[in-house]
Amino acid sequence: MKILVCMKQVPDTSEVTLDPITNTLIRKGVRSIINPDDKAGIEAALSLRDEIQNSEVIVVSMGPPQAEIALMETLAMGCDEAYLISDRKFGGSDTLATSTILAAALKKIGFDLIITGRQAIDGDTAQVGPQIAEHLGIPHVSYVEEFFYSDGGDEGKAMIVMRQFEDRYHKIRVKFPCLLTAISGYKEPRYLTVSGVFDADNKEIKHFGYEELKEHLDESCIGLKGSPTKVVKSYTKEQKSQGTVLKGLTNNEAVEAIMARLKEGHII
Amino acid sequence: MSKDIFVFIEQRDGNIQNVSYELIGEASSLAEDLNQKVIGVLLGSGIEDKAEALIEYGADEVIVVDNKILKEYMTEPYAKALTDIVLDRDPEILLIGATTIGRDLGPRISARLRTGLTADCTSLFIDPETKDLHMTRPAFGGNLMAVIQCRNHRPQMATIRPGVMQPIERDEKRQGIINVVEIDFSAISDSVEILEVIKKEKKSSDITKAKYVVSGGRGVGSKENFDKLKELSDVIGGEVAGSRAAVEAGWLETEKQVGQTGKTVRPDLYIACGISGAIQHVAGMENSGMIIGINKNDTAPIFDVADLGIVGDVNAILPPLITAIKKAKEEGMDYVAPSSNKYMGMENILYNVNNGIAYLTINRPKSLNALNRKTLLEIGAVVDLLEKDETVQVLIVRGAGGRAFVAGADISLMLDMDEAAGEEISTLAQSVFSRLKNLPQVVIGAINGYALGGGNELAMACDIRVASSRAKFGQPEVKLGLIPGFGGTQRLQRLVGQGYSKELIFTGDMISAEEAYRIGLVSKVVAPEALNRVVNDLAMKIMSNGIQAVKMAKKAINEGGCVDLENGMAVENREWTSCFTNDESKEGMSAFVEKRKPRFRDF
Repeated sequence: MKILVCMKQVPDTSEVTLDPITNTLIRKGVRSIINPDDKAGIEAALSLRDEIQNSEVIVVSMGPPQAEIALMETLAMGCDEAYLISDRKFGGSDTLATSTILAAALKKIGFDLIITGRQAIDGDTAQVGPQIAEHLGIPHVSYVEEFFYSDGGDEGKAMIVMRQFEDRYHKIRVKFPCLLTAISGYKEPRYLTVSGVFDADNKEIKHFGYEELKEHLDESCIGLKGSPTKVVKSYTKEQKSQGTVLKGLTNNEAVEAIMARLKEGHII
Repeated sequence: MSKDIFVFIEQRDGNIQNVSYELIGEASSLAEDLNQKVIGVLLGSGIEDKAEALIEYGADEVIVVDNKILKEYMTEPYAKALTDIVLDRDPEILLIGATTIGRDLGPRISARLRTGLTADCTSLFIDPETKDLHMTRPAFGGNLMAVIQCRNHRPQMATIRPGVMQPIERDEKRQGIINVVEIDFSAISDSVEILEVIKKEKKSSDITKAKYVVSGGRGVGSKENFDKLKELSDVIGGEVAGSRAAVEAGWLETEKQVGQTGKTVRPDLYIACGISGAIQHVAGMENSGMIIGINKNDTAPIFDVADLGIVGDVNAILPPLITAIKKAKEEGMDYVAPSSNKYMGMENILYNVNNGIAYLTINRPKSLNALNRKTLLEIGAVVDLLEKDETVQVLIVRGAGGRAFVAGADISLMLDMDEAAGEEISTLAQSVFSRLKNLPQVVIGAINGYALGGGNELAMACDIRVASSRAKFGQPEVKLGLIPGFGGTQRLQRLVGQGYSKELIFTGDMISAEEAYRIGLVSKVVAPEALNRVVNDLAMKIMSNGIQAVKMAKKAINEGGCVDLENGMAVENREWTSCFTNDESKEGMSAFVEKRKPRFRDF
């Protein structure tokens, strides 16, 4: 079985800070990491490979050439192959254009199961996974916390997954081919092993650009041109300022002050 | 041609989720700007009787699809129903709650329709010129806000974060259309099947995932007192946590410990009760959205990281706080905390003072804070007080309820007015606003919503105006056959020039906060949730300067605005000279020379 995992290299947003003078994001020196939900997806894929005979895990990432570093890391975790999808023509893509390009690449590689992370920590949109599934015309289940493979007897082969909602879970059976989006935190991703790192060195990252994918791509649907949404402006939030400390209040005044803040923050 | 604003109504087990009412409220305000309708799309099983409530909350039409296949949320049946409706009706805008349902459904549909989708928005507004939707959303873990547009594709789709928008008041008399439609689900394959629905128990869950955390330390004093923290966290829907001291005292399980040796949390709200705030604790919670610290000791380091610090006994404050929150939840959105001050006799405004800053809140949210005679008199009474109150340095004027600053004069009360009554109300309002403008204190208008007619005139009587991005300004009097009568024809031209002023007054058009900023009517535009904080910070910043000097500068600017340049210079010369008669200027200049911070407060 061919398991494809989509991965994005992201800046570690917990390290992104604001320049106190210019009030802009300091991106310099911020570490790049594998997006945490994607790492959970890789772990889920590797666990499934351990269970299902004749299966392989192939990682696909769209991004600039530097994303090779993150792809090397996935190979060192034990993934079988890695593809970097990169082309100048792809620059400026919004989620819809990105999902269009990724869908073309996945189609070309071929798949039984696609796993993506639920969302990337730099954009937090959670849109690319479901959009890929739509382009490929396959069902998807998002917010998946647990993955089980069922060879299913009469019912046929399927994935049994726990789909999380705010207030409930759905235990869902979904037949192949399908796309699942994974949430981090359920299972610790495996560490790199010495032999993994050694093996990774002998593997090569494959590259797809526009030329390789054009049989599956409409040029008007990719890049800046193919993106329906445009960022017209961005700004940093107002700096967190020195707070207010109130002294000598009666209890009722204190309650009033707290209530005002809770209302302000839409908490009540 | 695309038209109308569609809202996907989310229900679970047949109960309409709050986010849907919030989105209908927001859609109503967008619909007003576009002169279009609000259409709710309600999908579910056995839910037809729920449509009425949506109309009462502001929908003009509710499209209902009632089918067994829609009982529990599943992507494909929901996507099929919603897409069919969108293709049939061609909406201008489609809004969906950014829940685990909406964020699954939204992208699937946007890809099917090949239109843009902006995820997890926190504010929306209509560009007054192009009529396109501006969608603002956080990115980079909330470090950056991005404004996004989808100009060439329809519908413009957005998922909206729950709890950000405000529902409008329920009106049981409101009329609308309920439109039950059939969708053909026969082509849906059996490739996805729900085997089991498992409701989450309110398990003692992971504090790192909680939206709100109520945390206790040594100052809580006992295990019994900790129960109050639990009660507080229950009423706000959060989790209880604690410092290492609380865990070591046996008041709390180890997995609830926050800090370097415990867990790191970054909830939207962190209430630190009786926690001193040692650096090891702060490391585990300093990235929380809002931090409220309550501690007896006013030098506790927790106050360095708190957005709001209360020096006091947490065990005395929590019980009335819990009662107040419960009451607020029962009363809904219009609740404004009862003022504990002695001016409670006022009906239409709230007035309180905190650390030298006074807050005057126009409090008639049900009438969008419209000004009537009584409200004007009450503002006048506050002006009376302030003229004599030297403990107050800054007055902040704002509107209650989140939709309006002041939406205008109360038209229903003016219907029967004759000439004399008309003159009387204008004279009253003009005099109250002029006295407000000439108060010795700095007056800041925090414009949270509509500032129309008398509302814009009240705003212009403030020294400084800061607007939320959802604020709207205008002088629509000519639409009613009137002219501005509370100072609008005079103050507006002095702020933005005659040309623009005439256009605004002659057309009666409403302009956005951004446009008001562009023409200089307001000096800042900020996200709605940041408005109070920015205005407070501005007040604090002004107060940290030589306050006598600020007052004299205000006087010079105010007086100079009414006379020619030469006489204005004379006013400046007079005020400048009088600076040298007080100790404040001596302290300020000495501190500058001695390279230290001035201590103005002592004077």
